[in-house]
Amino acid sequence: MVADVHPIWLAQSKLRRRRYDECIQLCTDALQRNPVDQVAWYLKCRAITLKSWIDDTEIEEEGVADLLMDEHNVAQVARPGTSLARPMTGAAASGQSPVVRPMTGSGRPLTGFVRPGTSAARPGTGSTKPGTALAAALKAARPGTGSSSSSRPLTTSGRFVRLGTASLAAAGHGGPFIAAERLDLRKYAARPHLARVLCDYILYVDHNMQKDHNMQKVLELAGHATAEAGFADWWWKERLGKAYYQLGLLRDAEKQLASAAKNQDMLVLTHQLAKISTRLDQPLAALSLFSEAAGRHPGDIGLLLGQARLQEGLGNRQAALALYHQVLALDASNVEAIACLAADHFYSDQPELALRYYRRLLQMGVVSAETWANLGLCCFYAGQYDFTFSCFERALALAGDAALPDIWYNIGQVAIGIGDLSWAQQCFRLAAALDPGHAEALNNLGVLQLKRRQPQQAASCFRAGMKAADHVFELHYNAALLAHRQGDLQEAVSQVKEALALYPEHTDSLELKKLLKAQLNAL
Amino acid sequence: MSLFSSREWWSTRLGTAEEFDQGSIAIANIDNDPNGNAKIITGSLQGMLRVHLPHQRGYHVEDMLLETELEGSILQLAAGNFLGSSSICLAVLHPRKLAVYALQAVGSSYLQHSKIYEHYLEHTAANMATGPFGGIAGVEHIVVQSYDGQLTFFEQEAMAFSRFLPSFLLPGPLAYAAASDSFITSTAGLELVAYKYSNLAAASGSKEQQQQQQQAGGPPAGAVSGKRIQADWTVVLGEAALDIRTGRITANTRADAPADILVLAEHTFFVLNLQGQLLLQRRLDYHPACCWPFPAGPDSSSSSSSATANPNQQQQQRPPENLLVATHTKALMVYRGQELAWAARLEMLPVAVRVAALEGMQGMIVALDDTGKLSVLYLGSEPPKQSVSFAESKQLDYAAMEAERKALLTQIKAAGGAGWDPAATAPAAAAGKGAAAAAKDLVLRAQVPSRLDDADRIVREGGEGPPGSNADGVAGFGAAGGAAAAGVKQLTVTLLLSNTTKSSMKDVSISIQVPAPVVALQQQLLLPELPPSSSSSSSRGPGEPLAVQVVLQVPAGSSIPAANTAEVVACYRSADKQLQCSQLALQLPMILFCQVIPPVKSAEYKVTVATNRDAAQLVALFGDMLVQAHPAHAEALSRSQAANVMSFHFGGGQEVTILVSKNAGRYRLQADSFAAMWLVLQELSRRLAGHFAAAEAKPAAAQQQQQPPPFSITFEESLPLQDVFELVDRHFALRAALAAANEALEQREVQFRSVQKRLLVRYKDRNAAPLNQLDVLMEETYDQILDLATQMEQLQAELLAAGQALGAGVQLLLLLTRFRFKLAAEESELLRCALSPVVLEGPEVSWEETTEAAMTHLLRSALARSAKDAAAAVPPLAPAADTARLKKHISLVLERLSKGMRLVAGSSSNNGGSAAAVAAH
Repeated sequence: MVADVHPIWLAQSKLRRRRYDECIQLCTDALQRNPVDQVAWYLKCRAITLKSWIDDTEIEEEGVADLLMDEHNVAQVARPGTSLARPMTGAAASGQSPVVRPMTGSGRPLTGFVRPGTSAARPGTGSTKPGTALAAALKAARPGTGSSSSSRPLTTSGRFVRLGTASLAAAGHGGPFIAAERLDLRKYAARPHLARVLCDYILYVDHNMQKDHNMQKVLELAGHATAEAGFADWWWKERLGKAYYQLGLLRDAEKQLASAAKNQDMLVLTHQLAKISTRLDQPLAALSLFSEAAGRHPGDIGLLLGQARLQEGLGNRQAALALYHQVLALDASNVEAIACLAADHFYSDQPELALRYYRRLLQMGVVSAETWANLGLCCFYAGQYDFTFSCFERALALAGDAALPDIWYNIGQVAIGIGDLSWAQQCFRLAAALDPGHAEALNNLGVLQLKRRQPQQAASCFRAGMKAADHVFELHYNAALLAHRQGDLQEAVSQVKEALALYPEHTDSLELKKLLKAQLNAL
Repeated sequence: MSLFSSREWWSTRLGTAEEFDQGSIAIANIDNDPNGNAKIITGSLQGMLRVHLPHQRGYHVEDMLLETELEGSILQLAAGNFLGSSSICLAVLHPRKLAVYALQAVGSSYLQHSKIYEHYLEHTAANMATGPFGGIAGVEHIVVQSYDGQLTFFEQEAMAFSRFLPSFLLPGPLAYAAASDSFITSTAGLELVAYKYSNLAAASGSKEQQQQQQQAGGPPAGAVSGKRIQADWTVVLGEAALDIRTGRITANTRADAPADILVLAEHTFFVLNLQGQLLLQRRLDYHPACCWPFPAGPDSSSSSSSATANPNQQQQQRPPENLLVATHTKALMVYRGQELAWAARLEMLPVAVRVAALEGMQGMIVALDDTGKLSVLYLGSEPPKQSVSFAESKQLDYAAMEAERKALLTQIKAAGGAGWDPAATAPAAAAGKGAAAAAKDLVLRAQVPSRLDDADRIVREGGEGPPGSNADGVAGFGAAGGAAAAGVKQLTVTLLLSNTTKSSMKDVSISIQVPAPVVALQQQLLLPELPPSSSSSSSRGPGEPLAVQVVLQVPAGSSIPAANTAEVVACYRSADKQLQCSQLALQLPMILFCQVIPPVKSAEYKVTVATNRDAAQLVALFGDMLVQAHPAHAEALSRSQAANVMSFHFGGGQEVTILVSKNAGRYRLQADSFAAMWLVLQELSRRLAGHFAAAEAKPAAAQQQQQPPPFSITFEESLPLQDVFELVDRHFALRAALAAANEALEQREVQFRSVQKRLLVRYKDRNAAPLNQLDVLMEETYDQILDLATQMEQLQAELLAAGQALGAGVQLLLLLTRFRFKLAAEESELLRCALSPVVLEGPEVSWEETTEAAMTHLLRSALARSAKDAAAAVPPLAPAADTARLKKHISLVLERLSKGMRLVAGSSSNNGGSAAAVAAH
């Protein structure tokens, strides 16, 4: 039908239209006719690369193997406000207290937007006991035991491998398209237009080799090429940095990226550098990188969002809010900014405002179980009781397995709010049954059991909760209270200490501790 | 994700199965209509050229002005002043031809096209650019880029010259920037390159010449056209450019500043000035499809927006432009500088967008997708309503809701959901209820033959047996060595399933759990559907049940079983999609475990039980066993009808002998293994009970013996506690050994990891320190880990065997306790719950701890002597250090039983209410 159109022209057009499979097919045909057709090779290579391209400027989750072999020692006891592991709490910062705003599993305040890395802890620094971090990570990684949300990929390359194999299967029969280990990379480095696509191919696609080997190939190619380009090409340095980063050589990566940034001021480089700083748990360095770049590129949303995320992670609520507002002024439909602002308003006791933000999200087409559940909660706290239940009904209808426990937990909160304790108990039971590691639900269930004068069951709930997660200070406080009531002062003291370790300014815990001290002294 | 969606004003579908691309659309007043109405010109890869002029909302036939087929595909269209006169005409790029057409209106309803000139191209064309090259006024020239990097310049009817671009692989998008008189293109090396027109014009023409010059290292002296083509500037973008345009995007530049270069790349949008400096970059969080700069503000004239081909003419007066980007996420973004001015949802995925004034309306968006849907859109400002329906009009019926809630609450209460024990989760309660209901629906029965299968019917494992179903689960080590098929005993049990409901059941899965040495060849059976058994005619009782054969095997040389019942559970989905189950316990025949041999004398352990009847004949009692014994043995035994001795041989070599004292009705069991006796004793008691029950049921017998006391077995000796404790100690010692091995393994593992880490550091270091025997250490540790792992495996196997022996011992103890204290069935069942013969291995707590806890509980509750006992605190379940307490408590429990205290309230004067507590344990 389009007989006289050149197949290469058609392939290029398909590539532009992101019809990769058709493009690959055309190129494969062309390569069968002429195996040394450079143009067809080039196009096919690019199509395969683009198919499995991922934006790697956002910080990704670290695999267990990375943690295991991580030798970058960071301060275990950093000053508050200088490390993501120790956000500022209480009166010292403008952040909200954990009583009002729950924490994530990593001990950071809950944010309104789930990104890779926000939900899972950064073991090694985040946890209170340094030695247990790896064990905790391993525990979570075991399939079937942990909840799906907390499990951690075994290695980061594991994800890459999956992406890689999928595209290789599409690449056709007869093995992989390019066998990078057999290529003379020095020869390719001298051909600038082939070298770049080859480099990206190895970086993003060719994961049938071992990950490290693969990155070494990138390093080799980029090393030759950057020498070829007279050490003045930012792109090759960036690729070197990327490969070093994947190999875990963060300082080398930083050196390359900084050098690249001297060649040409690119936004990608700023993001990459900030990512390295974040990985090294130096949020202040990352912040200054972002703010410097924001000075050079006024009005760039990515830079503002990067700063806002870091500020939020550090507990600087006001700063984060201001940044999110700036983002919204530039891009009124930024989902992340809207969601974070909504969450903040909700937790600062302004459910009406949060309701407006969530409604906006809904109107924009972000229709998910989480949005509906948040809307339901906002409606409830804003006093619009008639909408609450229809919102939760929709949330339940939309929810998948991962979201259901949290939705039932929230319905349980509403049930407590209207005073129907037996209903609340049923909701929490559902939450705990769906996710045996739902520490908050177990905590509330325990409190309800206490109310029903079933201290044994309550204690076992608290114990189960503590076993499931170590970030909920309420569990420890309640357990301490229960132990104190039953006269087990020893247990009470140890639990109240745990609670205070998680949240040093918790007034009730402090009072209980004082009381316990007085009682022990009297003995 | 955007609040608004674009509104369609006019749309049509161009042809069928035609393809379009980036360059397939042009908007211009192509027929030079004095009204100045812009027309939409489209050309497909199939070679169809169409011109549309939308008149009003919605498509009408008269909107199409021209539809004609040109020979050859249309790669790109461009409208411009290619003739020198002031009229606009159309340049059409075919793969091997460039043609310029003039279009004239015939009447008001259609157009006519006439070819003005055409050029045949030497090389396959990729794309073209137009503009007043060289700064000439009043006319536009065309440059065509070919697939081998040749730029061919056409000045109206004449071909001016052609040049090869240096280091070329693949043509990128080509744009002409009038202000600097240069061509901007992107190369295969992901760079953006600009060439000055003057430089191109002055350079040498042919490829060969250039190559020669490059090899020679410089232009040969004296050659007039010998200059090499040199790029004005080069910028590495690192991404392939999708589209290159010129326009003034940056807001803060002066009004007379020249246009910027806009590059839409795969993941970023770049703005460069004409000197190749990056002014602005914006990382895109979506995949862009195409872009179009258009003048913002109302002061732009209609011609400036439509005359796309010559941007320089109106440039001086133009305000900053907005940029329209269509994305692959079906959204339309409008950027004003850095700011996202508007985002709208889009119904299509365009390959080209334009902004034009149509029918006097400014700023209409024309979008074309690659299947040929041509739409004219505007940005509606009304937010969509459908998703905001959460303020729904549906009135909630609170009364109905309350009623439903009440009904649900009663259901929950009925299911025992009132209290909550974290150990028993909600689904368990529901399952329990379901099982109770299901017992009526699915009736399970089993026919257990008393004879083993014939030797030739034995299914060899891994042979014709169903694959994957062999002993990989329960049997564990016991099934190892399936090759020794000679000693394998096999029994085929027939399960009968009858569905008593009216509708058929779905997904019936039957699972069989057998005690340790026995192996079920199929542990799981799946039946997709079970039709109702009762036929419609005979509604009473189940009609024909479905028969399922289950093959059980006992490998040769296996150990003593700890139980002789198999458990069958059938789960199914009833008609209303509820998951339900029903279960059945099967008594496995004795023959599966042991066989009769000539009497032996081994009397290490002895147990004597007495009955209140005359002795029964062993041969009659164990007739079924005798039938299947070795012929010689059977003959010897059956010859002496009144044999008062019989021996049984277990697979593992243990032998148990029954001696009958004829006068007293006493039976003595002798064995070389303590654990082995339980099975024989249990069988004996069961068979005796059955025998006498049958005998006394006969009316004749009933007349002779007038109402004898019920048959009972008694045991007068002291309980063999010491033997049981030995088994407990052995089990416990093995557990301790296993725990120690586990700990050692953990330590070695930590050591291995840290050595590995240290080695890794060494290897990573550029000037590595000497290994310092680290490698030796690593190898040693590795060997140790392997050794420990093997050791653990062995220990685990031993532990399993010890657990089994313990279970058997406990069974015997339970039996004897029952005989000794004449416990009622209910009581002995309670004691069985507390002193369980089922030995479950746990990582921390195991049989010892749970039994200890159960014993303590019994002592506190049912067997408490005083209130002080009852008030004793219960320590939490924790790993035990030794077994002294356990032994003490077991003896204590048995002692109190011997003193007449009873577990069940009715049978003794002891405090009541404890039975439930025990059962719950």
